[in-house]
Amino acid sequence: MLETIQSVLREGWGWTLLRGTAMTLLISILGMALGVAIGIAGASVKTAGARWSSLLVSGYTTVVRSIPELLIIYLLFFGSVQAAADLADALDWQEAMTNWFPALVGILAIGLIAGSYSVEVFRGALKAIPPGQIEAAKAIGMAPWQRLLRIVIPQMFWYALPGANNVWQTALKDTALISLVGLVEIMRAAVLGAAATREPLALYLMAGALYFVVGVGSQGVFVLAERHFGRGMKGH
Amino acid sequence: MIDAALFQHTVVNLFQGFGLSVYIGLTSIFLASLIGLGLALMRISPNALASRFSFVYSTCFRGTPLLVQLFILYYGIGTLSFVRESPALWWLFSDGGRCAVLAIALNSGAYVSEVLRGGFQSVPRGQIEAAKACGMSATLRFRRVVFPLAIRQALPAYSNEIVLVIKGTSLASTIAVMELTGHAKRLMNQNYAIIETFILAGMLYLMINFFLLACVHLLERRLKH
Repeated sequence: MLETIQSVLREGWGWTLLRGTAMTLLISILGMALGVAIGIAGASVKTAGARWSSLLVSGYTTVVRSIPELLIIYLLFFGSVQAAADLADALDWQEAMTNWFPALVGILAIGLIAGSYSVEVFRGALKAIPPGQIEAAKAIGMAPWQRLLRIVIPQMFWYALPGANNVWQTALKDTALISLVGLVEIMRAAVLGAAATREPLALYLMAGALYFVVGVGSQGVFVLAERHFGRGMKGH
Repeated sequence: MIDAALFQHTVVNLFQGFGLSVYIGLTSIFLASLIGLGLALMRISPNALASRFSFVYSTCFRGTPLLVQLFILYYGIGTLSFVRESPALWWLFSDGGRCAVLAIALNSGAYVSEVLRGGFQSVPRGQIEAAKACGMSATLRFRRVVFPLAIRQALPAYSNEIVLVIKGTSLASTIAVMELTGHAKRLMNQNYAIIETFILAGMLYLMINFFLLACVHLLERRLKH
C-alpha cells in the first residue's frame, strides 16, 4: 500500500489533494461563518423575539436537522443551476460560473446546516451570561451597543466555543458531500485521482487522512482559543 | 401550483425509494447498536489492548466523512484481489446496498460506542459494589444492574444517532443505490419540479425520523418505571 501511495504521489496527485484541502478549508470556514451568523441571529430571536418568530426558527432547525444534508445540497444546486447558467450567459461569465457556482452552493449549504445546529449552541451561550452583569452595565450607564460589544459578545463567544467546535467538525465533514455537485475539494480530487490512477483504495485512504488531519488540527485551534479567550473568566 | 399528474409521478417514484431507505436505515441502526455495544465494552474493559483498539477505531471513524468511508469500502476494498477471490467477501463488497449498510453501521457504531461509554461510566460505583456484596456474578451484575442503568442514561443521546443514521442512508445514492435521495435527485434532474420533489422527499425523511424518535421516547418512558 505504501508503494502505491508513493507512486500516486509521484504522478502529482498529492498537489491536487492539497489544493483540494485548501478548497475544503475555504468552503468550511466561509460556510461556518455564515452558520455562526445564522446561529446568533436565530438565538437572539429565540431569546428575545416574538413567539411566532421563535416558532419559525424552531421549525427551521428541526427541518434542516432531520433532512439529509445531501438532499439540501441537491435542492440548492438543482434549484439554482438553470438561473445561474442564464445569468452567466447574459454576463458572459461562463468560466467563472463553472469554477465558482458549486463553491457558492457549498457555502450556502454548509451555512444553512451549520446554522441549524448553531442556534442552540448560541442560545445556551447567551443564557449562560449572568443577568446581573447586564443590569450592572445598565446601572453604570452603558449604552445598549456598549453592553453588547463589551459584555455580551465576548462572553457569548467563549461559552459557545465547545459547541461551536462540534458544529465545525460536522461542517468540515459535510463539505465532502459538495464534491457530488462538482466542487473540487479533497473528496472530488480523490475521485478524479482514483479514476486516473485506478488506485481508488490509496486515493480514498489519503483523502480520509487529510480530513482527519484537518479535523485534529482545527480541534487544537479551538482548544487554544478556549484557553486564550478564557483569561479572566471565572474558573480559568 | 403543482399539477396532479406530476404530483402523482413524483409520489410514486419517491415511494419506490422510501422502502429501501427505511430498510437500509433499520438494518444499519440494528448493526450499529451491536457494534457500538461491543466497542463500548472494549473501551471500559481492563484489557489495555481492547480499550486502545476501541479508542483508535472510534477516533478514526468519527474523524473522517461517511462518504470517504463508503467509497473506501465500495470502490477501494473491492479492488483487492483476496476480496475478489473469496466468495463471502465478494458477496458483501460487490453490492451497493450491502456496502452502504456496512459503511453506515461501522460509522454509526463508533458514535454509539461513545454514547454507551458515557452511559456505562455514569453507573454509580456504589451500585456495582452493592451487587458484588449480594454475591451477583459478573454477568448477572451486567444484566441486572450495569446495563439497565447505562441504557437509561444513554437513550436521549442515542436518539440523535438514529437521526444521523437515517440522514446517512442518503449517501447510498452516491454508489448507485436507488433509495429516496437517489430517486429525488433523478426527479430533480428530469422534470425540474425541484421544490416539490424536495418537499415531498423531505417530508418522508421527517416522517421516518419522527416515528423512530417517538419509539425511543416510548422506550424511555417505559424504562423509567
